[in-house]
Amino acid sequence: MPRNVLYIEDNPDAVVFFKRIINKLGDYALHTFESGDSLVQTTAESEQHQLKPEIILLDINLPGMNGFETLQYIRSRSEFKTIPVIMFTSSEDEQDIKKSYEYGANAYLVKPDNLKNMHLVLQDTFNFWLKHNVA
Amino acid sequence: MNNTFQVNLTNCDKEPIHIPGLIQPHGFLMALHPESYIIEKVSQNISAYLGLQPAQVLGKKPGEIFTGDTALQINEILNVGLRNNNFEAQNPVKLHLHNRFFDTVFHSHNGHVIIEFEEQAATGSYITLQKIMTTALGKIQSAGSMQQLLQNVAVLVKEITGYDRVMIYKFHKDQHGEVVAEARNEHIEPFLHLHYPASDIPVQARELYKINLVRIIADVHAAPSALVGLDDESVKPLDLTHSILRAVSPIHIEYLKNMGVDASFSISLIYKNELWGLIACHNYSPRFIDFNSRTACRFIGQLFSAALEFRQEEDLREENNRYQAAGQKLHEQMSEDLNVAEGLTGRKTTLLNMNAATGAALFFENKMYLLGTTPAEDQVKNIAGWLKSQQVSSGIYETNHIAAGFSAAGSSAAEASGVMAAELSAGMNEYIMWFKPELIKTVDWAGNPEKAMIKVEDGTERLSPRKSFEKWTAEVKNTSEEWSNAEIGAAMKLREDTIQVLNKKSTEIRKLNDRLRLAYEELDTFTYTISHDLRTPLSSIKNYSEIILEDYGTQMPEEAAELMQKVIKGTDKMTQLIRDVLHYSKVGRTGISFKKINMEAMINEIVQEVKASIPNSSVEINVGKTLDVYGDETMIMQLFQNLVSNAVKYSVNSQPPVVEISSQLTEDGYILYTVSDNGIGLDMKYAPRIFELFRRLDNVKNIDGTGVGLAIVKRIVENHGGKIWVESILNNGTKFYLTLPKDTR
Repeated sequence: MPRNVLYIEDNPDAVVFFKRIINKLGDYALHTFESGDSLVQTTAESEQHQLKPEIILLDINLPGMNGFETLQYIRSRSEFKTIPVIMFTSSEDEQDIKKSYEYGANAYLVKPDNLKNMHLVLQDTFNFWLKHNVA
Repeated sequence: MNNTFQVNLTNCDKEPIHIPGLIQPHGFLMALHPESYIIEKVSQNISAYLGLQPAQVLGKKPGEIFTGDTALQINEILNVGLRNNNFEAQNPVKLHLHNRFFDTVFHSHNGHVIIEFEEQAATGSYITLQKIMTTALGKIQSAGSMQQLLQNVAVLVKEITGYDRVMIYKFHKDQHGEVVAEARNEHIEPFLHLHYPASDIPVQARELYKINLVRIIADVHAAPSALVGLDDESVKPLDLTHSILRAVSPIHIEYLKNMGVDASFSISLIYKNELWGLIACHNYSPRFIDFNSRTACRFIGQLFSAALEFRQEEDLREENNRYQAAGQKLHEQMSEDLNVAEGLTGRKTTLLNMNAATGAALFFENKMYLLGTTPAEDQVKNIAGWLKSQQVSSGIYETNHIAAGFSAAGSSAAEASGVMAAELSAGMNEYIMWFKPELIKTVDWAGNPEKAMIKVEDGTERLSPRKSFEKWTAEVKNTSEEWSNAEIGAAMKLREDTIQVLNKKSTEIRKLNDRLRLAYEELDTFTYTISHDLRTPLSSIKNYSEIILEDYGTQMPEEAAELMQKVIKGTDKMTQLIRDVLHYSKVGRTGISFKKINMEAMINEIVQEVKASIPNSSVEINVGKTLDVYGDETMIMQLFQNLVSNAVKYSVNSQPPVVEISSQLTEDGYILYTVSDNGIGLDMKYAPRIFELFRRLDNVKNIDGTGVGLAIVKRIVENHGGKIWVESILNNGTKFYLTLPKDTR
């Protein structure tokens, strides 16, 4: 069974790189949304939707709802409550880091600026969070 | 009665001239007790007129001396006058005594009724009041200017009185006198525009001029007649304040004699209850004009005083309007482009239009502007320096005698004896100054003063017009014309206006500063945002390049793979640049959270980090005294990281590289840090540029760097209120100096 990964990211290039890496990492099923708002559209009506993510990666700089608002929404939903949320962003801003943990992120990951490092970081992250996920 | 008061030039202003105990001999006088009518005083010369000795008169009543109708008439006048407390309406009473005609004048004053008998001149030409009034009114009304008015009146009075010389004498603010108009016989020397010292007419004489509006001295050579009194303790000394026959002060007699004047007549000119001046009539032979003529002249004097008041006010108003209008114009000129110096000195209307000054200076924004006739620049500065020490509470200081307070100003008295200064900013040494020249230079002469009549008989100090003028000249040395109220008022207004313009200007500058600050903030935000946004596509370029290499690297020509590597390297460099710019803008964006920083710990940590980043280097980093500073920990950390890593980076080829860090306390309470190296150094010619953003010097082009590090360093230091500078010798080493706060402050 592939593991379900949910990735919210507005930059299609970033999605391309991400997909390329997780395909190499193992058996993962990737669901992406280009904004927080589109996630809300899909999931707001009912908790009985097809999304069953085991890990959520979330960009901060998003059109419409930003990463923190999206994080708040995620944490307000019972079906996502215990899912690990990893902030995945190029921002190194201290305020962004602080805010992320305040809103209930499990980890804050700065996007490495080359694919090799990105590969290593994501491998490590998935190993850690999916192994420890009690859901 | 003996007058024991000895008069000389030093005490003549104390001489009791209202109780001289003497009268002029062109008439006689008797003084009565106001209730009993007993004659208590009589002039010695009564014998010459009535053939009676004083002893025959004293102690008696007028009714016992005069006979028939005369006795009745006098008694009647005394009764009516005392009942009404006024004799004015009855004066003069024409009496025919011993075949002589007398104008008899009564008045009551200070415990006596005084009766004065003035003999009418045999050839007395009557001047009728009506004739005078008509002529005088016409002359006064037709005068177009003040000067013309003065001249008309002088001519008129000469026509009426027939004196050889009629002068209009004006008292200036400092009480010195000036002849402002003159009508004279052709052959005599003009006195027009002569100035006289205030002491020529002493204070108590001025007071009497205010009481006796006309005053005649019939013959300066005639011996005065003494007053004789009852030998009675209860009899008061006779107060001759209102007497028409009152004897003249010997000093004044001498004065007139020295001028060769035999007779004089004066009419007081009163302006706003003060003695404005006199119409002084001189004759070079004895001359007497009768009571009615004198009364007529008194009317002219009053008429003229009224006209004077009107004219003077009109002149003042005109002067005031002119100066205020100039001030208004200057205000407009300054307001146009908020340029004070240009507005006050560089346009059509200048400071010189604000008053009668002949020179002006403006001290503004460390510059001096001179207009008109002024002392030399250095001397103007000296005067300004002296002004600074004067109390200028109202913002305006004026004097017509600078040298009195500042003797060094004497050397420039010709251009500036008087100064008026308006202070623009307290403590800033910003002034407007106006100068007036020495008064003597401004006097114009109607004739040659050398020829003014002088009679010095025995070589002692004598008053004379010439001597008077010399005395006045000495008194007014280094003195200018006074500053008028209109001039001072206009200067005050201009000062207010200028300050208003300056305030407006500083508000404009403040607004501009605010806009600038806002623009800077926006720029920082903009830089931050754009840098952030640049990173995304940049990382796409890099990542796609990596994918190409990874997936197709083996299939493409080796050259293509190398080019792909260059693309990746380029994006890396750009990423670094963006990261640095981001840091730089962050220093501007984030507020500083001040705290005491343990510098020893921080510097050691930085040294370890830097050493770790170049594992195989032989670099030697010596840390000296590390005094604690007060600042933002993150920023100070970044500051020293940049400086230390720079020092290592630029000395990497030295054998071995030596970096030294040390600190000390400065005299003004800052902590001075130095970071030095023995590296490649820099050309001091370009030293100021090294702190500019993206600026890299020629000799470091082979060393990696973005040109942002030192810009960040400078920004951090400045945000902490410190300074940074550099010393360097090319190929020898560089030493950075920076000051940081020691504590809050």
